[in-house]
Amino acid sequence: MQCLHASELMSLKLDGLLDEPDECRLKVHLTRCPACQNHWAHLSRVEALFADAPALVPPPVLQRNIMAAVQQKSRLTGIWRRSSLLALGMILATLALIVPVMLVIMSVATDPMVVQQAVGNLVRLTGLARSLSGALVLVLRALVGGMNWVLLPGCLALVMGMLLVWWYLLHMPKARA
Amino acid sequence: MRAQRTGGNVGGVVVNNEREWVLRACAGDQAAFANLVEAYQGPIYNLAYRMLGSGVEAEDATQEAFLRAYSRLSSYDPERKFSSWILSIASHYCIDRLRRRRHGSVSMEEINHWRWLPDRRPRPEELATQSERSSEIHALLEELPPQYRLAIVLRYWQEYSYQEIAEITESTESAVKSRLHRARRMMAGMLEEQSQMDSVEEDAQRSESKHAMSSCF
Ligand SMILES: [Zn+2]
Repeated sequence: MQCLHASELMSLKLDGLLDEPDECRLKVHLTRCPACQNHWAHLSRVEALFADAPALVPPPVLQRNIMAAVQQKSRLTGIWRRSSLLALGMILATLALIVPVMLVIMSVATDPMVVQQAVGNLVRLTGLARSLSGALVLVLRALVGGMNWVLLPGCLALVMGMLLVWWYLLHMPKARA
Repeated sequence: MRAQRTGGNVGGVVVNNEREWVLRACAGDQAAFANLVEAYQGPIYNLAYRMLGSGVEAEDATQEAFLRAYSRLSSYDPERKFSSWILSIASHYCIDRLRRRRHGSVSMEEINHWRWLPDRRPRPEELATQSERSSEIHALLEELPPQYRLAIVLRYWQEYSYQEIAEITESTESAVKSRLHRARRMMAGMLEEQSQMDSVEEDAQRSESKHAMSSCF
C-alpha cells in the first residue's frame, strides 16, 4: 500500500467510514511504516484538539440585532415596492390621459401643423410626468427609508421638474397660438 | 467524542415546529422567522466563528446570513431541510468574505466593524475559547483553503455526514471526502512541522546551556 492511499484510509477511519478489509490493510501498513505512524499520531492530535473545542454560545444581543435588521429590511422592501408601483401608476395614468387627448386632437384638427405641435407638446408632457414621478419616488424613499443621501438629488429633481412645468405652462399657449 | 451541538436539528436539539415556522415566515410572519433565528443562530454563529476566526465577524456573518435567508424565503424549497439551506447561505457568505479578505478588498462596513475597533474588551465566549486552545485551532484552520476549511468545520462542529456536507456546499460526496482528506493531511503536516521546530529549538537551548556550563569551569 502506498502512503498516500494509507492517509486516505486514515481520514475515512476518523469519520468511521472504513470497512473491515481496508482497516486490516491499514493496520498492516501502519505496523511497517514509521512515516505513516507519525502521520497517524499527528492526525489523532488534530482530532483530539477539535473534539475538545466546545460549541460557542452566540452573544445574547445577536438575535435582537438580527430581528432589528430584518424589520428594517422588510420596511425598506415595502417602501421600494410601493414607490415603484406609484411610479408605474403615474406613467400609466399619464398615458391613459394622453391617448384619448391625441385621438380627439387628430379627429378635430385639420391643419397638420397643429397636430404636429400637439404631438410634440404631449411627448414633452409625458417626459415631464416621468421625471416628476421619478423625483417623487426618490423623495419618498429618502423620507421614509431614512436614506438621506438620496434626499438632496431627489428634492433638486423635484424642484427642476416644477420649474419645467411652470415654464411649459407659460409657453404652451404661445406654441399653440 | 465531538463538540456538543447546539440549536435546530443541526445540534441534537430537534426543532419540532420548524415546518410551520418556515411556512409562516414565508407568508411574512416575522415572529415565526424570529423562532427560526433563535433555533439556528447557534449553528450559524459557530460555523461563521470557525470560518472567520473572530467573534465580531461571526456576528456580522450570522446577521447577514439571516438577512439573505429572509429575502430569499420565497425561493426556499420546503422539501429541503431548512438547516441545510440556511447553512448553505451562511457558508457561501463566509467563503466570499474569506476570498475578499485574501484579495485585500474589504468593504467599509467590515473595516468599521473589525479593523478600526481592535480595542474592545474581549467577550466572555472569546475568553472561554482562549482557554480551549482556540488559537491553535484557529492557526490550523487559517492555513486551509476556504473550501477545505468549510468541509472541516461542517464535519467537526456541525457533525454533518459527507452527503449533507455535499448538499450544503453544492458539491459531490467524493469531493467532500477528498477535501477532508487533504485538509487533514495539511493540518497533520503543520503539527509535524511545528513539533520538528520545537525539537530543534530544544536542542539548541540544550547545547547552549551545555556550552555555558563548560565555559563556567
Ligand atoms: Zn506509509
